[in-house]
Amino acid sequence: MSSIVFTCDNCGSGSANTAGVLRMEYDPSIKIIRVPCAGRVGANFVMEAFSDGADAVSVVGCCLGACHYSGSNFVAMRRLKILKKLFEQLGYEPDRINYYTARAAEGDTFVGDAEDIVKKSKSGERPFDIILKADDKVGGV
Amino acid sequence: MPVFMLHDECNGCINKISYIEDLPEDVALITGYVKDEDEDEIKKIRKEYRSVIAYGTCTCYGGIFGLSNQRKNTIVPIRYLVNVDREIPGCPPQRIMLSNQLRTPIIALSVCSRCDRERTGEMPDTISRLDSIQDDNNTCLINQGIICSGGVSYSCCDRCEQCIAFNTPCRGCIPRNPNSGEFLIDQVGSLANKVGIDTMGTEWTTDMLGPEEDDLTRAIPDPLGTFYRFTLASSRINRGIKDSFGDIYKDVMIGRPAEEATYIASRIYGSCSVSVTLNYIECIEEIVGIEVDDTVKKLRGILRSSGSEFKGAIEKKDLKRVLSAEDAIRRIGGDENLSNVSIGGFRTPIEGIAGVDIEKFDEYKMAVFQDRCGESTHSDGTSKVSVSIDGSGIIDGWEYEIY
Repeated sequence: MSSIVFTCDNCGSGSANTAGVLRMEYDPSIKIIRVPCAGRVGANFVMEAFSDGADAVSVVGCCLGACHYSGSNFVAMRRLKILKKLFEQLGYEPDRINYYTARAAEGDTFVGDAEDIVKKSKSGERPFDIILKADDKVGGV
Repeated sequence: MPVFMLHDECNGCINKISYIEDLPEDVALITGYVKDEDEDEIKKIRKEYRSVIAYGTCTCYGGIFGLSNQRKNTIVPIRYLVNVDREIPGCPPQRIMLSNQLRTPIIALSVCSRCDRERTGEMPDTISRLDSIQDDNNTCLINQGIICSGGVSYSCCDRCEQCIAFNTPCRGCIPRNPNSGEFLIDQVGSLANKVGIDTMGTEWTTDMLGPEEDDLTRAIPDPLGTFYRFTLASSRINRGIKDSFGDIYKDVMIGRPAEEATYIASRIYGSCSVSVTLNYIECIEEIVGIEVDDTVKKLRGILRSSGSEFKGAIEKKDLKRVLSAEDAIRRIGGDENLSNVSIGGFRTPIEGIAGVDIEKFDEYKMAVFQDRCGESTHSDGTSKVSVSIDGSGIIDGWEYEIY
């Protein structure tokens, strides 16, 4: 079991840091990857995480309207919304893709997000079970 | 040159190569989609021949038939199974591409670099479905809020063969990358800056992405067919778990929006595609309630007879007749994928047909329509199509018969 969480450098990572400083606990299956901004996370990041075996992929960014750049958390949300619909079309559980916000000064916001991610990562079918992985087979000419 | 085609649902590509003479004997050409189960057969071909060329997007990337992977099919790009010496993508690739590729690869340009439309850089207020607005034929489609794969695709060899030349957005039959769908999702996510999105509060006082339909998902009813039309089999998430209908055409067509299905049907039915596409368009016109002008009926009549002439010439293997029928189809349909044909009429004015006035283009212009549900059947001498669409304009029933 592992859930990939992309945290933005400002709020997401800050909040996870605060949670650590305050010795709050969240599930060890959460794997954090820090990105400069939530808007850096593209569909290929999410899809690669799933094809490498993640059970759920989430992005934790700044609060709505409080992005440290100009509204890039909405960029990430739009991408994830499209991916959610794509997952639904393929028959997988759209709940496994999520966007949350967090506040850097409050560790419990990240802990709450993490609990929800873990809960949702158990719903529906595991998307990567039947995917054919091509990495080893693809070669040059 | 020996040509191998393991699955013969669509004969669009093989029609292009069957008549070319003086090709080397020790080079094998593989066309048509390839399944995971075909590994042994493909490896045998690889061993027998000095080099192997994959011809067509289906072989190289899974193509439109790769969309059936949504329903548990197992189509894979050929390079997952064996190394190929050349990949010639295209749906179908032009004849000139084969002879070019045999000598030197052509210099690839993106569709945008060969598109005449003006890029304004404006963020669209809304994302629109293909036939729900009349575009101004001058501004970049993405700036107008219509999704176009031009930025993530290579241009076809011939400029006038491009869909965009007939005001039809590119859907990426020559992807720049096996994961081009994901890049297009990123692009749309950034550009749809003013489009509203559903959010909701959580119990622990943060916000999260909401599960409800919003402006964005209503405008993109079919992300799979829009972003991954040719590359589902080659992308990272390449299989779905929905149940198959037992027929690959049904698996591909069901779930696609009514306005996009025109350009899917015109690509996957090979030599019968003209007839199937026109029958399909007539079905939709009956469902939506569009009355077409006499000019449109006349032009469609000519297109139909060119289509059946093309099919007959293919069966008789008469290259001269094939080429002249292809030209006749191009004159009205734009390119051989009928990019100029649309529901309610045509997308660009048609020149050089007696009795059709370019000045009176408004009479045979494409129609703009909103969704309506229903079902209908139309047939002609070559094929019969029955289609039903649901309330949001998505095809939920597809039956066809080729005579």
